[in-house]
Amino acid sequence: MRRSILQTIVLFVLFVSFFATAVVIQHKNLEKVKLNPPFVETWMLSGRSGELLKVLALRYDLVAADFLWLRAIQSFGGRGMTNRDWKPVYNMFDTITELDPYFETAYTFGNMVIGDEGGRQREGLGLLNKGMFRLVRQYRIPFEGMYVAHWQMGDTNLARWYGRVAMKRQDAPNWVPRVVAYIEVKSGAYYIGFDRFVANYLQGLDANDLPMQQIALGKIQEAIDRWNEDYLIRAFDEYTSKTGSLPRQIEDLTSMPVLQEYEVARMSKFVAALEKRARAMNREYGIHPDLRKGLPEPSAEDLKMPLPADSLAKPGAKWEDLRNEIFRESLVKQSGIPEDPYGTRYVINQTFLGYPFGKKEDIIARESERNEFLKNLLAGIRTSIQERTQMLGKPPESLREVFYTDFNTTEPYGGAWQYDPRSGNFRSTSHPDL
Amino acid sequence: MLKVLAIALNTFKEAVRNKVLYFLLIFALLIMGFSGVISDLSIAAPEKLIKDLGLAAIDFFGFLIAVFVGVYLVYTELDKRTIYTIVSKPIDRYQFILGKFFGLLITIYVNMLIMSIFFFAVLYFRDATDFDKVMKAIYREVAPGQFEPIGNPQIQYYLYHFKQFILAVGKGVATVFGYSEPITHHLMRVIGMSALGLAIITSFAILYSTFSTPTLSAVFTFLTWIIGSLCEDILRYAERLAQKAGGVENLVGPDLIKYWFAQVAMHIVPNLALFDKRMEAVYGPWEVSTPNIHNVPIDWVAVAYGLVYVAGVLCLASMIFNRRNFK
Repeated sequence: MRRSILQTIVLFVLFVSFFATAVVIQHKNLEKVKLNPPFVETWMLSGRSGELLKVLALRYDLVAADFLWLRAIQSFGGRGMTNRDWKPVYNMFDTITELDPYFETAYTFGNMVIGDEGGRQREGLGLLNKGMFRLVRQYRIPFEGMYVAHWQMGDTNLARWYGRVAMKRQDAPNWVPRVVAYIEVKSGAYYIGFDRFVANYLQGLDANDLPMQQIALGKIQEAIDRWNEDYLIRAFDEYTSKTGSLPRQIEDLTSMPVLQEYEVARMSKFVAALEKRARAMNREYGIHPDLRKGLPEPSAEDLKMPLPADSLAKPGAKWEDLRNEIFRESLVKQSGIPEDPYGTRYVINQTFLGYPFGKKEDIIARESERNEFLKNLLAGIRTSIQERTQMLGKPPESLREVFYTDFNTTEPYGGAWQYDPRSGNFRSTSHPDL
Repeated sequence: MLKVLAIALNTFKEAVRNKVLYFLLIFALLIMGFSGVISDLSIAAPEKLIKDLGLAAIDFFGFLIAVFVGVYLVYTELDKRTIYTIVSKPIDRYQFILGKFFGLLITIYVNMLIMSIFFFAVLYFRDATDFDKVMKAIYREVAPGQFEPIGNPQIQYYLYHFKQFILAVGKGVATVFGYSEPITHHLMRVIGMSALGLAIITSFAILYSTFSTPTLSAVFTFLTWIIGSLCEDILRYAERLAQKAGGVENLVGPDLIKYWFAQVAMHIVPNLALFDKRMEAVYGPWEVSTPNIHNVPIDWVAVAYGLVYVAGVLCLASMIFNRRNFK
C-alpha cells in the first residue's frame, strides 16, 4: 500500500517536472516568436497548386480554401511590410479560387493586392476574368474589372465592356449604371476611381481594418489629386492658347472656362461626410485619429449641415451601405482652383514652365512639393559646383564652367539664382535661407 | 423487424460506452467553436468560414466515428464469443447485420445531431453578437446622434452575451427540428445529405468487419472513403486520357486499360461527391430580393442512389456473414 502511494507520488513529481520543463521551453520559444519579424513566408504555391490541392483536399476543398485565404491575408500584410513581392500572393489567390470557385471576395481582394498594390494589373484582371463568368449573377467582379481597365490601365474600350457586363448582373445596385455612364466621358475615370476607393475605405471601416483604411484613404487622395490636376492642366492649356504666354502663378488660371462650374470630389467634404455620419451612427470616428495627418480640415459649415432626411446613417448601420450618399456628398460644383486633398494648396512649378522635356503634369505642384523640389535642385547644383571646385582647386568663375552650357533652369518659385564665384555659394532669391 | 430493432438499440448502447466516440465528439465541438474565433481573422466572409468548417467537421467526424466504432462491432462479438448466444436464438444472420448497421447509424446520427446543434448555436451566437447589434442593445438613442447607455454598460454587455448564448443554444436545438433563419437556411438538408453519405461508409465498415480484422477493416474503409471522394476526379482523368488520344477508339496499351479500369471502377465505388452539398449551402441559388439566403434543392436522385447503394452493400455483407464459420 505504502509502496503504491510512494510510486504515485514519484510519478506525480516526475510528471510535474517534465511538464513544467516543457512549458518553460515553450515559453522561451514563444518569446522568440514575438521577437521575429512579423512575416516569414515558409512555403510557396505554384501555378498548378490549385488542381493538385483540389484532389488532395478530398471534398474538403472549401475548408482548404478558407485556411489558404487566412494565410493570404497574413501574406498580404507581411509582404506589404517587407519585400512587397506580390507574385507568390497571386499564386495563392489563384489556388484559393480553384479550390473555392465562388469565393467572390478572393477575386476582388486578390485583384486589389496584385493590381492596386503590386502594380500587376494584367494579372489582377486575369483573376477577375476567371471569376466573372463563374459568378454570373454578381456585379462586383466585372465592376472591379471596369475600374482596373479604366482607372489603372486607361483602356476605355475594355472598361466599357466590363461596365456593360456589370450593369446586366442580377444584384447590380442602382448606382452601377450611373458609374458606368461616366465611362462615356473622359473625366469618368475619376468618378470611378474615387467611388471605388470610397467603397474600399468603408469596407475597411466595417472590418475595423486600419491598414486597409490607410491604403484606401491614400488612394482617395491620389484619385482626387489626379482629378484636380486634370482640370488644372486643361486650364493651363486654355490659358496658353488664349494669351500666348505662360501663367506666372496658379491664380492666373482661375478665370479659364474649364474652371467654371465644374464638378469634382473634395477631400474636406468627404471628411465632413464621414465625421457627421460617424456621430449619427454612434461610432468613435469616421477617420481614425492616426490617419488624420495631412488631410484638409472640414469646414465648420460642412460639419454643421444636417444629414439628408433619406440618410441611412443610423446606429447599427454598415458603413458600406452609405457608399452612395457619401459619394454624392463629397462631390462639389465649384469655380476656381480646386482644394488640394493633401491639406496644402496647388501652385505652379516654374521650373517646368515652358521646359520642352518636362511632363506637363509636373507644372502643377503643391506647395510642400515645390519646396522639396527646390531643396533637391539646390542640393544637386551645389554638389556639381563642389565637384568642379575640387577639380579646379578654386570655385568656378561661372556656372557655365560647371554645366558646359548656359545655366537656364528656372527657379521653381519664379525667383532668380545667385552665384558668388568668390565663395562658390549658390542660392535662390525666393528662399535665400535654403 | 423487432429483432433488428432490439439488436440496433443494443448496439447503440454498446457504442455510446466507447470512449473514442467522446474524444471525437469533443474534438469536433472544439473545431466548431474554434471556427467562430478564426472567422474574426478574415477580413471578409466570416460566416462562410464558420459554415465551411462546421459542415466539414460534422461530415469528417461522422466518418471517423463510422470507422473507429464500426469496424469493432462485428469483430467484438466474434472475439468475445458473444455471437454464439445470438446465433443460437431465432435470429437470422442478415437481421444481425442489419441490427448492427442501424445501431451504428443511430450512434452516428445522434452525434451528428449534437454537432449540428453546436454548429447552429455558434452561427446564431456569432450573428447576434455582431459589434453593431451589441452596441444597439446596450445604448439607446435619446436624440438624433446622441446616445446614452442603458444601465451599466459593462453589466449590460455580459448580460446581453449570456442571453444570446442561451437563445443561440435554444435556436440551435430548434433548427435541428425544422426552424431556420437566413443564416441557417437549408443547412439541415446539407447535413442530411452528409448523413446519407455516411450511411454508405457505415455499410462498408460493417461489410469489411464481417470478414477481416478491425485494423484491416479500418484501412479498407478509409480507402473506400478516399476512392469515393475522388470518384469524379478519377473519371475526369480517364476522360482526359481519351481526349488527349483524340477519342477512346485511339487509346492503346496501358492507357486503354487505365481508361476502362477507371470507367468500370468508378461505376462500382460509391460516389460520395453526390452527397456533398456544402458548396450549395454557401453559394446556392438565391432570389434577387433575398441574396443572402441560399437554397439547397433536395437531390432526389442522390437520395435514391444512396439508399439503393446501402441496401446493396448490406446484402453483400449479409451474404458473406451467412457463409462465415464461427469456429
